[in-house]
Amino acid sequence: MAQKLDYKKLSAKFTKELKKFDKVSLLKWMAIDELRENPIQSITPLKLLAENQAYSYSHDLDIYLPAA
Amino acid sequence: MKRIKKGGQEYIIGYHTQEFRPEPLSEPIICKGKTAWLGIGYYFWTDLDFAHYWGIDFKRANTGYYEIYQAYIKVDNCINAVFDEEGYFFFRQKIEEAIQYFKDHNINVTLEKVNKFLTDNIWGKLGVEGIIYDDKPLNSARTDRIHSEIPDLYYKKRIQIVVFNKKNYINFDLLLEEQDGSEA
Repeated sequence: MAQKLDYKKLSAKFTKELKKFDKVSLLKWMAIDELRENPIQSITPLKLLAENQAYSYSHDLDIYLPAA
Repeated sequence: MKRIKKGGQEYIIGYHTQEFRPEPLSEPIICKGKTAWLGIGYYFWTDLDFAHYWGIDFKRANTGYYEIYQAYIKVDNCINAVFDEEGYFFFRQKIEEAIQYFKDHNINVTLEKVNKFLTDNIWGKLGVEGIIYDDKPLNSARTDRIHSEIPDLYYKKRIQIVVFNKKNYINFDLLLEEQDGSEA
């Protein structure tokens, strides 16, 4: 049998990571997801992203992403 | 479901269906957007029947033919929500936690949205590299296909593996070329 994940350890880590993800981060992610779904139509979130922070084009995902 | 050992590492054999093309793929096509219901990644069926059904229903619109590729999938770091009790309850609980998280922030979401959120933002931080999941074998595109002799007991699992990274599969190769669906 292949080895498997330590679900107990992961469970606590999951909850911690979710708590760390605040509303601003969530909204930012939603804008990115919208761009991924509708790259042409989603000009507004793209503009917002551009105004608020640097972004770059991901050739792999074919979308714009905030710069790391 | 077939398993294989290679160089001391165990793999599950997965099947990836795409439309026929003159030059076969050298890598699976990443699934993103609305159809990425377990998150953006590389999707494989564990059962050839469902790989055929997927081709017949969705992957022969332009040429009339589909093809099925095979790969060895490394599932050590995948959540196994199909055959592992702990994995199933972990996945279920975390989906529910994520849904609650969206509700707490007054945002309406679908399960698909939640899964994409988790893939983009959480699973990677936990070292989760994929998910093994099954659902009812029903498909809205076809109503004449018999999935159970005794419905609504769908005793045959429709299992998919999604892996988020190319490093989680090896030996991707064409298995069945130019299928018209008559074999399925």
